[in-house]
Amino acid sequence: MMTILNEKVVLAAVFPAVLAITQVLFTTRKQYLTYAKALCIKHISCMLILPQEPSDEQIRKLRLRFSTDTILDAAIFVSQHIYGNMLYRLSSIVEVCEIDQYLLRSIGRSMSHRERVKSLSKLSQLCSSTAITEQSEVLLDKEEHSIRTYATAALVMARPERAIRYVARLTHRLSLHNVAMLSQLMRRAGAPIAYTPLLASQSQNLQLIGLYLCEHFSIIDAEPLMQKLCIAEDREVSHAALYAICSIRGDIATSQVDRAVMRLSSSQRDALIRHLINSCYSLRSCAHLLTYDEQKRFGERLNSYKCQILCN
Amino acid sequence: MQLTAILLSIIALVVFYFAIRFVMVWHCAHRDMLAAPMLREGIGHIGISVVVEYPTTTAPLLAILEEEYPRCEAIIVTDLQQPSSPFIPLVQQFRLVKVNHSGMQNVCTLYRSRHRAFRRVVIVDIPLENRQYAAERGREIASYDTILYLQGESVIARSAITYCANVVALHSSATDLVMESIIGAPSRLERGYVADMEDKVTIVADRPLAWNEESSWPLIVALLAPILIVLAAHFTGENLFSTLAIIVVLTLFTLLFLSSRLIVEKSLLVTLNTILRNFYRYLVWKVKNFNYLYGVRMWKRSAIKLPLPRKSFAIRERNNRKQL
Repeated sequence: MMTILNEKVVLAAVFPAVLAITQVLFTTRKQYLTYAKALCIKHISCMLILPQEPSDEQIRKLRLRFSTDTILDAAIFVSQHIYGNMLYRLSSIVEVCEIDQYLLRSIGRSMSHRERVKSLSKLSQLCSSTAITEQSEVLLDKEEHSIRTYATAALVMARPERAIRYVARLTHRLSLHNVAMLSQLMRRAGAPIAYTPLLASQSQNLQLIGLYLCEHFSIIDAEPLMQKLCIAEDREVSHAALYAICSIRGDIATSQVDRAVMRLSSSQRDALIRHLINSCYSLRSCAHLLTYDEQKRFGERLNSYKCQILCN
Repeated sequence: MQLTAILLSIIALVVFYFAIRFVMVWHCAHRDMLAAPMLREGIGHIGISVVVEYPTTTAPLLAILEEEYPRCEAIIVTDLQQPSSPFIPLVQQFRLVKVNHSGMQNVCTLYRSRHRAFRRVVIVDIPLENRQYAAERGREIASYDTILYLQGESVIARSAITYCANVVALHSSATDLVMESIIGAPSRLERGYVADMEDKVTIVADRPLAWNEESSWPLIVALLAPILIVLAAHFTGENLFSTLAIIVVLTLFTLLFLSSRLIVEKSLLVTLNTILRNFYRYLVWKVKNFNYLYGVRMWKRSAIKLPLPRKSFAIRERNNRKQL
């Protein structure tokens, strides 16, 4: 009887016991990883700040002290907070620690699509050496869109001077997230950003990147090209051009903008009204684009924003 | 007694099956999200307005203001007529100004922040009697077209707005989106105002968008359940109760596996607590759904009368049916 009772007691206690042990293990591991990452970031930052370049021996010591995953996380964290010459110093640390090779090996080894994309996105965040470009270029011909996109991102970071060529090789449509990511990488890697060839190109992806850059940097000179893109057949490009014109507070009284607005669905028009108000357009300047009800809504919203604030 | 034990074992098996299904719903969401890196600077024109309905503390507002994504705003719907409202002193503290709200029914007062440091705060005074209009008015007032709805004491998770902006940017600008989280406090992200849900792309978030520090009764129930079953087995002498206890423990392990997979700032116990609460809700929805499809008329009426379950589960199921 006692044996049976003991078995049952064990059964009842197994879940709380496992829960408690898991909680302790999780907390301990999390604390250790946070501590190791912070220490590694400190070491890498010291190497970057010092006036002389870190020797290979110093970097190897780092590798002996920390695991590759910890160095990888720390390097990604540091790379997000530095620019210019420091990126090249970081790339030498990455190269000596063989982090880029480690990521490439994990891409080749992993069967999961998600894991490959994850490794590629990590690779794109590091300033990796040009030696890995050949291996990354093979991935550009893969079927999966996400793998091709993130392989392009890694190549853009490794060889920024060829960024536009790599993007032009993509045949699938990039999402706004991918466009933002690529343009962010191009800026960080110091790729030449010439908006005219981007906006005038035939590739929709390049047009979207060009529009994104013009919107981000508020390039007013690009407005005539943007107006042309408003009447592009591709709806994504036309939509992006419309928003870019509004963001730079361009002329919306043109026929191109009129045609672009006509193509929008009701929910998109509602979103555009919000964007127009955020971009500080007056009701009179937008009246020709909107129906009577929309004008009424626009007026009410605009009043609720500013009227009494300006009067105070 | 043996019959009771058999019935309970069957129910426990069904619950275990649904626990696996629940984990699979999360797994599908996690797989679909891919490993897109989080972009923390403003993505194009995408902004998120967070509408919080009737919070009793200022914690939800302060959590939104800590968000690092640049294009976001906090819209707090509250009843300022109540003298105990914590937002009355905040109007002075944040130097909010009263603005026009003509054309907005049921709104008593509308405050916006003029000071640059608090430029993202909006407080809407709607009496508690008209609380059914809170979400609608919040949507009208919002500056951005993507809106995250939270309720009560739900405090937004760290980087949740950045995550939402990234997810929205992954989809085409022409698509109307609805995103719900099956973990954490109830929350709902919407882009576009098409009334028909069929026209919207539905997504399940693979991480909690908000936390709610409610009581920990789901965890207590989960911990007590195997103990009670073992006690029942001891006093009745039925071996089937032991089988039941094993199944319950397996179910709990399945949910523990899910909570251990999540990378969140909360402890494992808090995460498990919210997952268990969501799992109970999922079970209730399953029972109601079964009742509605196959139950007798009287039960169907009761199923309709009860408050509607969360839609995220329905969304996943409908998508599965579409794929089939």
